[in-house]
Amino acid sequence: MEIDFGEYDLVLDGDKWPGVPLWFSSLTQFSYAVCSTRNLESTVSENFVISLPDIDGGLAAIALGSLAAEIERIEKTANFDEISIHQLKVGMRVSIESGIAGQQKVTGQVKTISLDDKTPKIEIGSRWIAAKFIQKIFLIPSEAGNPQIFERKSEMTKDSSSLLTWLTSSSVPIHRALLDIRSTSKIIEDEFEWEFSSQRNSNPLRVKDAIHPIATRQPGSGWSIVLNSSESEELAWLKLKSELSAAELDADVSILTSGAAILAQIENTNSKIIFSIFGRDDRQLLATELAIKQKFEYSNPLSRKINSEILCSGIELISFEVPINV
Amino acid sequence: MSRLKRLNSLYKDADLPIKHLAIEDGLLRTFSREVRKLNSEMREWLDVSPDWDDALSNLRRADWRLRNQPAEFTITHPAKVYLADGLVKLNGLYSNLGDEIRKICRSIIENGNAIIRSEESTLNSNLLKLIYESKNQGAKNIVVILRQEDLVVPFIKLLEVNLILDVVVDTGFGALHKKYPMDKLIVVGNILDYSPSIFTSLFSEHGTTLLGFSWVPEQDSIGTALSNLALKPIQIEVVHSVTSDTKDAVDVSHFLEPSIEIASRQLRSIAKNVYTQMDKSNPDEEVFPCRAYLLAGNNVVFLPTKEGAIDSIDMQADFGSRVQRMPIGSIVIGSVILLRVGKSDSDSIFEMANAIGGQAAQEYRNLQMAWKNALKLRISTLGSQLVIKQLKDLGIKNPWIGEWKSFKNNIRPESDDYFKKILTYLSIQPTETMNAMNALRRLHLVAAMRLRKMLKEKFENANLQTIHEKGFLIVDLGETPEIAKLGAFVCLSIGNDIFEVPETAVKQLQKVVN
Repeated sequence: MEIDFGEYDLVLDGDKWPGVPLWFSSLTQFSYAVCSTRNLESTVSENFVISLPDIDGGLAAIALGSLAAEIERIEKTANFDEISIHQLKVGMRVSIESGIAGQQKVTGQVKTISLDDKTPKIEIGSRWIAAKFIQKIFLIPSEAGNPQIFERKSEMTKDSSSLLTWLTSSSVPIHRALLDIRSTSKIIEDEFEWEFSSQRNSNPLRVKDAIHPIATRQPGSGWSIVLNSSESEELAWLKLKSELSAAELDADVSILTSGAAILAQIENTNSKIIFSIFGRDDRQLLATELAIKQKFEYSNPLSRKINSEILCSGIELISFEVPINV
Repeated sequence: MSRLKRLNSLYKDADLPIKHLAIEDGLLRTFSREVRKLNSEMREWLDVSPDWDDALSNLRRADWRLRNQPAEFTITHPAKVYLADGLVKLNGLYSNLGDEIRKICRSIIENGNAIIRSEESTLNSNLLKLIYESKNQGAKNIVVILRQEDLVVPFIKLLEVNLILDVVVDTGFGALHKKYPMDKLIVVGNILDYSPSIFTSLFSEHGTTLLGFSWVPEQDSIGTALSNLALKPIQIEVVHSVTSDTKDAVDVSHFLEPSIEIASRQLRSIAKNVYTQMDKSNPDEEVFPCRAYLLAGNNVVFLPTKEGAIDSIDMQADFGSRVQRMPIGSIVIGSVILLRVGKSDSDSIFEMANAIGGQAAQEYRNLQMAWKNALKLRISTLGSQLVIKQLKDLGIKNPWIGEWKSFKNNIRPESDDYFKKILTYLSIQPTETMNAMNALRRLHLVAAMRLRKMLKEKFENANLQTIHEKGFLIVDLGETPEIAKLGAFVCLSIGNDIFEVPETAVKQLQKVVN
C-alpha cells in the first residue's frame, strides 16, 4: 500500500501546511513498509534507530505508519468466523450471543461441551450456558487477546484515498496492545494533538483520533496502544492494570523516543520490531551507539530489503537484527 | 517563523554544504605556529616544570582566544591579558636552552608584543563583514554561535558599538535548545571545538558559515556520531574558501580550546594521592580501569573508561529536561554530573517497585523467589554442571548459572521461550509465574521512571545558580528515607591516566587528600 494522506493538510499551532510535509509522509511510509513485510514466524527482534535533526513529529509519523501495517495484517489474517454449535471444540476461544434476542454476550475459552446431557449446555470460562439459548457463535482468533465483551463489527470498506480516514474508521475487534510507545518526555502528548484538516470534512482529525489510546474505547471493541510516559506514569500503569493482563501488554511493535533512558529502554523491550527515534543530541547519539555496540554487538545487519531511500535527507537510519545470543 | 515552517526547513535545507571561510592574518599566523612549535618541543618539560606549564598555558589560551573571541580589541581583551602574562613568564625561562628554542621564544615575544600593541583584530573585521554580507543577501534572522558562555556578552557589546542590534549570539548548546528562528548561521572557530549536533541539527535557508583561520586545518565533512553504523548516514560537505596556506600535516588538536589538556596535567598528582588512600585490601574484588574526574567542592570520582552512563544535569536545558543520562565518554570539563552516596540505584528501584505494586508486588516477589529457589535447589542437589547440561539439552543456549553469584537477584532469562522451558524443567506451572515476572518487569520500569521523575523534580525546581557559584549542589530526596542524598558536581578536569579501581570505589565520591 502506498501511504496517502489524501486531501488532508497538516495544521500545527494554527498554521496550515498544504498537504502533509514530505518528511512526515516518508517516515510514515517507511514504518509502514518495515512492519508490513515482517516475517511472522521469526522470533528475532529487528531494531531501527532513526535520528532526526529535530525530534518533533517523528513519533506521530512512525506510530501512524506502523499501526496501519499492523491493522492491515490483522484484517487480512485474522478470522472472526461464525460457527455452528456442532463445530465447537474444547479449548476454542469464542464469543457467544445468547438470550432470546442474543442480547447477552459471553466471551472466553470453551471448557466443557455437554450437548448429550438432559439439558445440553456448554461451559465458557467459568459460566455454563444452556444450548437452547445460544443464538450465534463467533470464533475469536488468538490475535484478539482476552476481550470481556466481543462485538463483531460490520465489514468496513477501506477508503484508500486517505490513511487517516481509513485508520479512524477502522474497528478491528482486538483487545491487546498493538503498539507500545515509550517516552520520557512530553512529546507524546504534544504530537498526538497535531491536527489534519480537510475541506470535505469540517471536523479536523487529530493523530490521537487515528491511534485510539486504550482508554478512549470500550473494552473488547477496539484495538489498543500502550503508552508509557514518565509524565503520566501512574495513570498509564493503572490503566494497564485494569484493562490488560501482563501477557496482553507485549506489543509486536515498539516505538521508543527518549534521550534519558535509552539504554534501559532498548534492553527492556521484547517486541519484534522496535523503532527508536532520537534527536541529534550528542549524548543521545553516544548512548545509542554504546547501546547498539554493547547489547547487540551489531553483528547481524538486517538482511531483509528495506528501502530507506524514501526517507528525506536529514534522517539517519541504522537498522539491525538482535542476535539470539545477546 | 512558525514551528511548522521551521520543521520543514530543517529537512529542506539539510542538504546545503557548510561554507568554511579562512581568515588570512600574517602576524597571528606566525605567532600561533611558533606557540605550537614551542609547545611540542617542551612537551616533556610541562609535567615537571610548573613555570613552563604556566607560561605555555597562557600563550595557548591567548592564541585560542585571538582566533575565537570576537570582542573589542582593547588592552582588557582576555587574549591580550593571557598573552601579556605568558610573555612575562616566558621571558625569564628560555635563556639557558638551545639555539632553536631560543629562536622560537624570541619570535613569540616579538610577535606577541606586536599583537598587544595592535588595535585591529582580523577576527572582528571579518566577522562583521560576514554579518553585513549575509544581511545584503537577504538574511533576516542571523544567529552567531561562539564556543563558550564567557564569549557571548563581550561580542554582543562589540555588535552594539557597531550598531548591530538584530543578531542573536549564543553558545552551541543554547542555540540547540532554544530553537531560534534563523535563516543564517555563523559559527566562529573550529568544527572540532563544537558539538557536531550544531552542524547536523541546525539548518537555515542561507546556510551555515564557519569562520576560521588559514593555517588551522579544518574537516572536509561532518557526519553524526552514528555515521559508522548507519545505513543512511548523514554526511554534510564542508566547502573551503581558497587560502594561501599549503596544507602540511598539522595536528589540529593543538589549535582547539586547551583547557582540558592543561587541567588534566594538574589533576594527575591529585588523583594519584586519592588512589593511594583507597581501600584495596579485598583481593577478590573485581577492579575496573577508570579515569579520575576532578569535581568541584574538592572531590574526585573514578569512572570506568570502557562503558557506562551517568546522570547529569544539562544547565542549558529547559525546565523538564535538565536531568539526563549521559555516557561517561561524553563528560567534558564543565559537565554537571549527579552522584549518589549510600544506596545504589537498583536498591531504590527495587523498593519503589514494591511500594507501587503493593500486595500484587508481594505476590509477584513470592513467585519470583519460588522459581529462583527451585533453581538454586536444583543446582545444589545436581551440581551446576549437570543443570547447565540439562538446560542446554532443552535448547537453552546460554544458561547463566555459571555466573549465578555475580548476578544475584537480577537474573532474568533471555526470552519468554527459554523462561517457559526453565519453569517446566523446574516443575513450575509457567503461565502464572511468567505473567507475574512480566508484570514485575513493568513495575521496575515504572519505578525507574518514577525515581528519575523525583530526581528531575528536585533539580528542575532547584536553584541552579548555586551550581554556578559554588560548583556543586546537594539535595536529599525528601520523605523517602531509604533513598540516599544526591549531589550535582561540576567536572573541573578529566585525567588521562588509567587506574585499576576496586568495584566498590567506582562512581563513589572521594575527598581530595592533600
